[in-house]
Amino acid sequence: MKLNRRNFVKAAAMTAATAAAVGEVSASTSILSNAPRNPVLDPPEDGITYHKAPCRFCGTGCHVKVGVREDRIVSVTGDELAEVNKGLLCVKGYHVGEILYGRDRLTKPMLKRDGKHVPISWDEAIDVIAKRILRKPEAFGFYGSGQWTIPEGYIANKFTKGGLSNNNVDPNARLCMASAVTGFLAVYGVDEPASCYDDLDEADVVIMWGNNPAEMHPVLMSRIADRKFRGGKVKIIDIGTRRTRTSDFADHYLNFRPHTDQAIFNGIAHLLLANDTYDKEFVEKYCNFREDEVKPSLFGVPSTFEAYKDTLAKYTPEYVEELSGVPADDIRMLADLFGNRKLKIVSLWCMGMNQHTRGTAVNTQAHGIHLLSGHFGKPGDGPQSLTGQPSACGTAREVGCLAHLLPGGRLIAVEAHRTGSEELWNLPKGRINPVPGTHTVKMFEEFCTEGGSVDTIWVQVTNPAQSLPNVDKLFFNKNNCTDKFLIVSDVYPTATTVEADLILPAALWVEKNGVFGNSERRTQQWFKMVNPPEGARDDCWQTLAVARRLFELGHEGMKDKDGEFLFRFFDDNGKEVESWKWEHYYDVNVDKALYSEYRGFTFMKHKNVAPYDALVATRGMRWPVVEQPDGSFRETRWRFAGFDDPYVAEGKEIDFYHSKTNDGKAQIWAREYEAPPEMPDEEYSSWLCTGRVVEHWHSGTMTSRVPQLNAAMPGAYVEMNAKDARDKGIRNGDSVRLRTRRGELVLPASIGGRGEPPVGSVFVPWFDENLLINKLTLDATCPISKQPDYKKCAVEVTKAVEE
Amino acid sequence: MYPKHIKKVRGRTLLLGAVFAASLSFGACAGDQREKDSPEAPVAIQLKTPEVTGALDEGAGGESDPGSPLDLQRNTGATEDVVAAVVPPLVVMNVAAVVAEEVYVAPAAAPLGQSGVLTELDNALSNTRWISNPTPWNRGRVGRYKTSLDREADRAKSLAARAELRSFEGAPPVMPHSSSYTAGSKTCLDCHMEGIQIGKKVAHPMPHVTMANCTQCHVEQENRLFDELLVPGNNFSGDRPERKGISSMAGAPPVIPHGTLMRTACLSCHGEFGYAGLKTDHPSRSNCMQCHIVER
Repeated sequence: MKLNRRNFVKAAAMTAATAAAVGEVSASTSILSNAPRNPVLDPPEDGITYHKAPCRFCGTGCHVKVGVREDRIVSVTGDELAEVNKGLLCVKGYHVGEILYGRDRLTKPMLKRDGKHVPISWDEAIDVIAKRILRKPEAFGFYGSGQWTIPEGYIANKFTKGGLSNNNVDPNARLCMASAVTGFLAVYGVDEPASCYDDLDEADVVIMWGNNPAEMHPVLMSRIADRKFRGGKVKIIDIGTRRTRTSDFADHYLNFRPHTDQAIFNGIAHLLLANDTYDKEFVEKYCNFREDEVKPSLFGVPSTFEAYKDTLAKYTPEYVEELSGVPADDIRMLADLFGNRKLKIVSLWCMGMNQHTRGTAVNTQAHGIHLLSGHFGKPGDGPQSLTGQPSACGTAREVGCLAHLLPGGRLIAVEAHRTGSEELWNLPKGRINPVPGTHTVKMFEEFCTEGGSVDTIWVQVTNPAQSLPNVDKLFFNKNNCTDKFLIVSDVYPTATTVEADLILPAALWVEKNGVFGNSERRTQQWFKMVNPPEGARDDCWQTLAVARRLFELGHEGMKDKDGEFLFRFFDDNGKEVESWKWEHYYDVNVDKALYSEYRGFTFMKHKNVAPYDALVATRGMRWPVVEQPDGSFRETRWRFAGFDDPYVAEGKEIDFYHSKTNDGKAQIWAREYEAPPEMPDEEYSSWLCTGRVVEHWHSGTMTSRVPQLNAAMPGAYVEMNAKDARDKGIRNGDSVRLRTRRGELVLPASIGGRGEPPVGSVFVPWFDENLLINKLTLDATCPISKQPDYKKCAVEVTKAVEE
Repeated sequence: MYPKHIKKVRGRTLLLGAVFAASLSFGACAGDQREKDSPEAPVAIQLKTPEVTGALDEGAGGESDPGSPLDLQRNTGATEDVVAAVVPPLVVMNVAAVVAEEVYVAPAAAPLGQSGVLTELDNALSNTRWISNPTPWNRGRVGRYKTSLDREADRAKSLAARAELRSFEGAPPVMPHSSSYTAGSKTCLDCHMEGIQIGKKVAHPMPHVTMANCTQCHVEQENRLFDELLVPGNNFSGDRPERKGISSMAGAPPVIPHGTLMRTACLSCHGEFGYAGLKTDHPSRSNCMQCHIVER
């Protein structure tokens, strides 16, 4: 038989089927056998090979099919077999292939000498880093990302916490979903959503809390909107501080004063109790009450239903209207929805509630009204926190790349968790430092302080010079300090690489193997498809090479308790491979080895991720993924729900099996509304909110190099209400000066554009590296999660007079 | 009649309506190469059912059009009053008006959200512009089209124009214009549901079923806030297959040289508002896939 492509696909499918029958999945054949032939893009004679990969951008986790010909991506299409996106993508996703080919890709390691970046060899670069760390290992910080692949985050975590006995590992996800994490911990005792995207197909009511999925998670928004568009019955309610494209899809848009979402939650809860429409049975069986002792804390102290009721007593609809500006009748409407047990309600939120100086509190309140009203644990009925990065859940949270965590939901502060990790890593007892490291804001504060406890930071896959709040203080201040050393691994020049002492050119997305984890606990894998530009190398290899160099230089921490190197990889014959040498890095699948090692950490908290080969064969699987008697693996869509989650105790409908109170119950928190730390006053009379736009992803490093996306949105602007603009004599496109207590910036005005802030507030997107809005934002954080608030500070808005 | 450079026909989805409206439209549209009494015309007359006639009697306004996505009346059972309040008629010439001896009916109001700055009315009305039960774009028109004098040259030109709007074959086309998609408006379908030609500018009808969130996939290529565009350097080179439908033997219908994912309404490219050199010469045959198969 002539083995042309079509026959090959057939043969591969048969092989895979045979393999599956004996409980195995063959990595070499399953990619093709699982790749559906796309009639548009898969003509046999075009010479294009299609592979599956999760999209590089947001936390939705769409699967794309990447068409490769002659070592280059030539087309991209949505993957019809992917449950997340069902064959569709968004404007960024369709152009994701182009992010590899910007003309200014970094291809040489560059060291700053006399203020100039000069090319050096990779060996030299690795040596420079190793010696810098060796000099003062405790002053080293690893600043990573929710865009780290799981193996990249895992190796960085093990290298720093297990190797250097230093817990200074934190990801940019601290700026993005730390409050969601503390919210889940405080309520359920364990991180990550119980629900999944399937809920969006079932819900009768979808409520967006300070969330704009039409631009930030377009595929999820469309999943809801298309239902309605086709005549389905779904009510969409947008509760926000500015009208957005999401509001256009909504039946109700409720505008609230920034920060008063806390009061709205309490207003709903107040009415559920006052009207006696809360779910008594659910609360009785599955809930405890909790409150802060004096100061805000993660776990607080036990409380009672009566105390909870007392706290809520003053949040009458009228009082909530006074605080929030949302009409009392609309609060009643929301309470009636929650009080109706026949409806299925999904709450969605993302940065609006997470980037909040009371982020943890407001997250617990969101879970609280769902628990109080029993809208939980059924398909289409439950709270769903969304993430912004492709592996914020997979890497930052699950691998535990935060300064207080170890992999698999373990805490550094807990001795048993440390010793357990030391055993899994085969380390001598006591290797892991019992003191949590510095969180992001603290890490950069120390780095920007003369004599601070952090003097070296290695940044991978993120752009802190643009994304930190109050960047002059938290980033650029480093230039006023002596003996600071910044290492940056990236693919393009960014605001951060400009300031770096050493730049390492990195491989991007499908130029390397990878595993991501999305917002609905779905772990997704891809294989390297094209080579990176000559000179650029995998982040994971970079960490490995530095670890090896430290080992060679005699750093004791790079040895396990048997004196062997921490990171060893073996080929099929059991022979060790010198993976730290770039030319041998792809001799074995390092990703698979690291992922499989990490998988051992995931069982303790019942976050069992799927085996690597199962991920290869699927479009991702949602954990806990549990092996069945027949050897197959089954994913879990609804956690804590008896009908789906295998870890729920026999016979129970709902079981919060990681409950902080050890009784299978979740915690409903009493939280008071608290005013934000900075509010408009006479001098700074408006609110400033920052955020994203559909065309650009985060700091625009990748998307601004895609011509189609750049053409649509070439620069930042300040979005104003038409009345404010009229009062100030500002017309569309006029230059407007924004000034806060931290800095000022001039931007063009946008009036009547795609969004509309209410009177007295302005919005600025933060993707533009030439207009760093984070020079103006506030660096105050949630006291529990340490996540900053980018969504509100006081700003003075004036027309910038041309000189 | 009305100015010749506006070619716009409200399409219909009910089969009767579709055939009827389309046949009538050839009289209405700058019918250069078409004959008013095309062979199909008698069929159209037979289709004058009471239902259709009723629609004609109603005269103007989008609500008389059973195929319109804005027609809440027929699809949702909303009362006429509601429809009138909720859906301002589009600024288009109405087929029915043409039939009724060239009675020109002025549009009642401009579409929402096109005035630039939002008004409170826009906000108040935006959520009521929901379109329930839009019908998938799958309709045939009857009649004959002008045949290209140099079909090959037209085809090459059209394919090049088409490619310019796509990063690679299969990418969703970008919007070659700015998006008037401001808060409180949904205006894409006004042109792209049925297709429209104004002067030489053509808005192609959607080739896929109607979905709610156009800007999910289609990205605008103009931003009115910025005068100067710094084009980022990018070496991406997308797949541009050279394809042409061939026949398996002389006289056989050519196969479809491309796939059909999100391209199920053939007349989007091959119909009235399609591309020169790519238009079919037999749009009256409504079931394309009866004769043309996907090349596989």
